[in-house]
This record gives sequence, structure tokens and C-alpha cells, in this order.
Amino acid sequence: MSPLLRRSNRRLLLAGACVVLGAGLLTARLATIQLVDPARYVAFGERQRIANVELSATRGAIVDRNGEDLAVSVPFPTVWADPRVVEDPTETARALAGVLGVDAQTLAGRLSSGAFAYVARQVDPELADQALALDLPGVYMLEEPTRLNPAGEGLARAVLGQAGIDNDGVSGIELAYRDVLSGEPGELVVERGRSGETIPDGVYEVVPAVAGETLVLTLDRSLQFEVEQLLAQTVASEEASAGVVLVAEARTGEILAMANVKRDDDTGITRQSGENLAVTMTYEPGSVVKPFTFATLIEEGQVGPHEWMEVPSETTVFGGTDDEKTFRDTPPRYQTDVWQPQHILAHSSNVGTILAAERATPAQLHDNLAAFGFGRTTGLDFPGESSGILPPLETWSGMTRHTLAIGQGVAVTPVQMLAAYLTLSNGGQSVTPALVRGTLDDEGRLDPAPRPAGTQVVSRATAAAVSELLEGVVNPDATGAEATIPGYRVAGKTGTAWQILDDGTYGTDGNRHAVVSFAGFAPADDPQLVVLAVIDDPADPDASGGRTAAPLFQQVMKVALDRLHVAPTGVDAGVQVVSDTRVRADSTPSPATPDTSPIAEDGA
Amino acid sequence: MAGAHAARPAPGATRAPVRRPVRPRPVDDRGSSASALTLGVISLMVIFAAFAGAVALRAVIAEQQQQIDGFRQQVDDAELRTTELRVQVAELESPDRIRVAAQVQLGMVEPVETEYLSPLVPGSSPVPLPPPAGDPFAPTPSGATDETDGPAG
Repeated sequence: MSPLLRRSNRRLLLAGACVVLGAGLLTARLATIQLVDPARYVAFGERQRIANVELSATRGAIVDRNGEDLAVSVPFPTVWADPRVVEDPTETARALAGVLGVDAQTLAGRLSSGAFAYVARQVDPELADQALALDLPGVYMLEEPTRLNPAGEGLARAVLGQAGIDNDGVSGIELAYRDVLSGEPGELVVERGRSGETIPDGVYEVVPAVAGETLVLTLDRSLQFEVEQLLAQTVASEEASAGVVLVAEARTGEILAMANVKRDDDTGITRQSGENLAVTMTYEPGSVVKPFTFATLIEEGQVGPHEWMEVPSETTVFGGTDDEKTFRDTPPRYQTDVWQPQHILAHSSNVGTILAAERATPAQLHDNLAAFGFGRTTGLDFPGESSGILPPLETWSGMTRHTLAIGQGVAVTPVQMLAAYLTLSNGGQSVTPALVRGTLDDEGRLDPAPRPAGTQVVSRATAAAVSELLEGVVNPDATGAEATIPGYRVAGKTGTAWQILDDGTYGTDGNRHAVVSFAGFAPADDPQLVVLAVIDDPADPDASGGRTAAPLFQQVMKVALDRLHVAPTGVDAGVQVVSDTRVRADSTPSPATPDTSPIAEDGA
Repeated sequence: MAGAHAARPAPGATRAPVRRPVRPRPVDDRGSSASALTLGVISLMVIFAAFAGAVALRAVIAEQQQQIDGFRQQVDDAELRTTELRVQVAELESPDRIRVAAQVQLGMVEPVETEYLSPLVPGSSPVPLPPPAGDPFAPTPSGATDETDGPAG
């Protein structure tokens, strides 16, 4: 063999040996991977390919009774950054701040550490596109659900509440029904390639997200808007602190409008309140409670609905040792009149009501007021609802029966007062106010919310008798004259009450805090709607329920009757106030005048 | 070896032909070789075709998976668009927006007083009138005297 051939053979052998060695190493490595510890490498591969993606649940919408959207969740872009990838936090922050309007210094700090930093959450899509167009390393976009109120940001603001930036309810209906609206997130397990495409025949498991349910409220969007406008106009013109108007269906208790308005004393700007004063505001209601006093008296048989009574110009009540108070009417009378309960309420007479109330025992008065809902929450299940204050019977003094009879010494919320008038309008059977009708199923059918059964608080005869008395109040010659609506029979009562100030007194002339109100229902012969209007602290010292709240009640009731297509009955008033000329022979008849000033001057 | 000790043939005798050991000629298997080759080629082609088919099938699956992903994205986009349109409708129907549009764009003003017309005159009887008796336009029976002022029938 030639030397050349021998060298070639050696080279060949060497090359072959190298190939064999390399193949052997590869084989050994392959064997190690496949046989020695395969699970570790399988797991590593799966971690790279298999992604667990949370499928966020769409938050349920809130709609009004007609299906109009009040609150809807829509995905909005959120710009975020990975600080590990950001090359120059300061420059990146400066560039993003110019587009998104965030503070550059604060953002630069957030971009300096960690693996995730929000740049701007739920921004306008155009701004997000501009931010991404900067093509900054480490800056990305994701979508987050944002809660919108398309019917108007302020509409029913206090009722709807807010969902917060994390799309979770923090107040109002959004909070109270958070579980219903939230739904349940799902999960997607998928194998994906390097560029994110799904690997065919790979792992693909889906647990679908359960979307939140659509909540149907009892509110009527259009009526809510109109009522808020009317209330805001009144609060602004009266330079009041705040106002509340409630409109409800008489038979079902469904609240069609719940308007809350506040006025800023410094700026004079009046706008919808973020606080639901209808359930949180407590106040001494005053004369608007008198119908319930007479309901108690008629129900217990102490007073006949048409019984004549002597009503002097003033009466002194002795509550106990050194406890004596004289009550008068306002405007003051200077003679004794002979009135029926109809006249007592038409004139909103404190003296007449107190004298009549003395026929009832404290327990009877307390138990009936409690039965009408005073001193406890209404069952509306709204966050923050106050129960008001009805003094426990065991704490009553000798004076309590008399002050409570005229609406002093008791604290109520507007929705409590509404519930009480719902009972009167509904034949004496209680009706729980409601804000939620139910939820919509997948096919758009309403699944009604459970409603508690009502109780018969007073008999139908008593409720009818009191309704008749209240019709007498809404009369051109009575305190509720401003509440008359041509073509409809209206029943209602005025209320004007001073509130206790911080010093524990009712204040002095020029320094008082009054709450004026009017509550009523129409048509009185077949009640369809109950309306309560409350104005807190009007600037006019002569403001009263008849002068200030009754006109607002009239405007709201007109709009509501029209909205519900309640036809007029063709008569202006169903009840004519019986001439109150049966007076004592030795006294001069006094003309009936509207209630224009707060009740008894001596602090009652 | 036998041949080594083979007796020399007698003179004059005819020599038997020397028989050389003949190597067996390879059987002429050109035909079977061709068959094996063909089989091998066909097998290779089948295997290749199978691999190619598998690759093509994977490609089709991948393409269809892409389509599925695309459809899913379309569904998501459509749902998002539906929600956006829903919000847009609600915003357009917003009472506040309509009020502003009525005032600013159409120059309408809110009435100072809203007059609700009553279908009944105050004081009139709310009891509805009775329906007319019979059909005033029905043809009269033959032979009956037509005393109306209407056109002759």
C-alpha cells in the first residue's frame, strides 16, 4: 500500500471516528433528554407553549324599566410598560406624558423598576394609538373594561353609583348588586407557537366566562331626567341646600324616579348629588305626618272622619313636672273654630291635631307609626339607607305623643315617607318600595326580583277616609292649593318643619333651617302615582310646604301622569271642603289661609 | 486430485473432452433485480408521498387553525363593535343630548308652562255616548219606504 493510500486511510479513519464520536455524543444527549429525565423537558416545553389566559367576564349592564341603557361596560385601551425592557425611563416617560397627559416625573419613577407598570388606564383609543405609534421599547397596550353611563354622566348618579376603575361596584346599585353584575371569569388553556398562533391539535381547553346579568331597574329614564330638571330648577330658584323628589307607582311601589340634587352655597351651582339623599337624609317631617295621626285615630275609632271638634286658638300641654308647652297654629288664630278633621288638615292645624291625638294612647300612636314604616328601613336594600328615628315607646315623655302627632320628635328619610304614603294610596296595605325589577336571562326575558308581601296596616275604610281628608288639602282654599292639577283629583299634604341646629335649638328668626315638603298621590279616586317633594333649607324664611314644595309636586305629578298616560277624570276636585262656618257664637269666623310659615313658634 | 492420477488414455483412444469445472453462471436476475428496484423505488415514493401528505395535511390543519383563530377574532371584534354601537345609540338617545340638540341646533325653547289638554270639558258628563244602533249605511230592505234624504239607491 502506498504511503499516500495509507495517509488517506488514516484520515478517513480519523474522520469516521470523529463522526462516530459526534453521533455518539448526540445520541447520548438525546438519550439523556428522552430517557433519563424527560418530564423536566416536557414541562419546560409546555411552559413555553401552553398559555393560561383568564377570560374576563363582561360586567352586566344596567337598564331602565324600558330597556334603555343606564350603565354599560366597554373595553378601553390601557397603556402599560415593562420596565425591564424600557431603555430610557426618563425619555420614555417624557414622550408618553406628552401624548397621554400624565405626569412625566411620576411615570419615570414607575418605569424604573419592576416588571409591570401602568402608564395610563382606560384612555381614549386615539390617544392609545398615538402612544403606541411612538414605538417605544417596552410599551404595550391591553384592553380593560370601562363603565360608561351613556344616558348622561349625572343621570340617576346617586342611584346607579360607580363601578370604579377596576370595574367593580363601589357605591349605589353597582355595589348593592355587585355579585349579579360581575359574572364569573373563565379560563382558556391553549398551546401557542412562538408568534402566538394556535398550534393545531394542541391543548385547547376552554372554561367560558359567565357574563354578568343585565339588571333592570324600575326607573324610567325620561321621567328621571325630567324630574331632575324640575328639582334642580326649584333648588336653584329657592337657593336651597338640596332637594329630593321621589315618584313611585302606587300599586307596585316601583320607583319611577329618584332625584337627588345639591346646590353649592359658594358657587351657586346646582347639580345631581352623588349621595342618595332619598335614603340617607333624615329630617323632622312636620305636618306631612298628620295624616298618619288621623289614620291612627280613625282606625282605633277615637275620631270619626266627619266628626266636628272644637279647635281653640292654642292649647297647653302638660308633659309632667315642669314640662309644659303651648302650641299654636301658624298663622295664628284668635278664636275657637269648630272643625272636622278635613278642616284641621286643610288648615294644617297643630292645635286641632294635638287635641285629637290626645284621644289615642301613646302605644296606639307609636305602634301605628311603626306599622307605617317609621323607625326602620324600607326594604329597598340600598347601601347606606338610614332607618330614621322613631323614639321607643318606653322613652316617651308626657309631651312626646303631642309632638309626634304633628311630625316633630321623629326623624324620617324621604323614602320612608314615600313608603308611608304608598300605604295610604294602596287601600291601607303596605307596599315595599323597589328600585330593581329583576334581571334579564339569555333570551332577554325578565326574571323578576322577589318582592315581600304587603301587610294591611290600616283598613281600607280608614285609608279611604284619610284619602278623602287629603283631597280636601289640595283645594284652592287649603294649604295644598298649589298642588291642584286641572282634570285630576289629587290628594296630598304639606309639611314645613324647622330642623334642630348644631346648638340643639331650632334657631331664631333669620337663622333657621327648614325642610319643606309635599307628599301626595293621584288620581285620588284610583291612585296610580305617589310623589314626594322635599326641599332642604330654602333661603326664603317664608318658604313652606304649600308655597315651595307643592308647586314642585304639581309639576312632577303632571309630567308623571302624562308619561304614564293616566287620563284625567274630567273633574278638578272630587272633594269639596265643607264650609267651616260652624263656629261658636261668641267668636269671629277666621278665613282659611294657606300654611305659609313653620309650625308653632315656641320651639315645637 | 483424481485428475492427477488419472490414467493416461490409451494411444489412439479419443480423449474425452476435458471438463473444466464451470462456475455456475449467475442466474440471469436482471428481471428480479428490476422488480426489487422498482419495489424499492415505489416504496420510497410511497413513503415520500406519505410524508409529503402528512406535511401537507399539517399545513392544511395549520391553515384552518389560522382561519379558526381569524373567525374567533372576527367574533370578538363584532361583539366589541356591537357594544360600541349600543353605547352610541344610548348616547344619541340621551335626554340631555336631545335637549341640547333641540335648543342649540333646532332653536327650540322649553315652554314656560306645559298645558295638558283634557279630553273632557269640565263639568261634562264623563259617561261615554252609547254606540249608534244599527248600521246607518246598510241598504234598506226591498219594499220598505225609504224616507231618508240620501241619494236614491
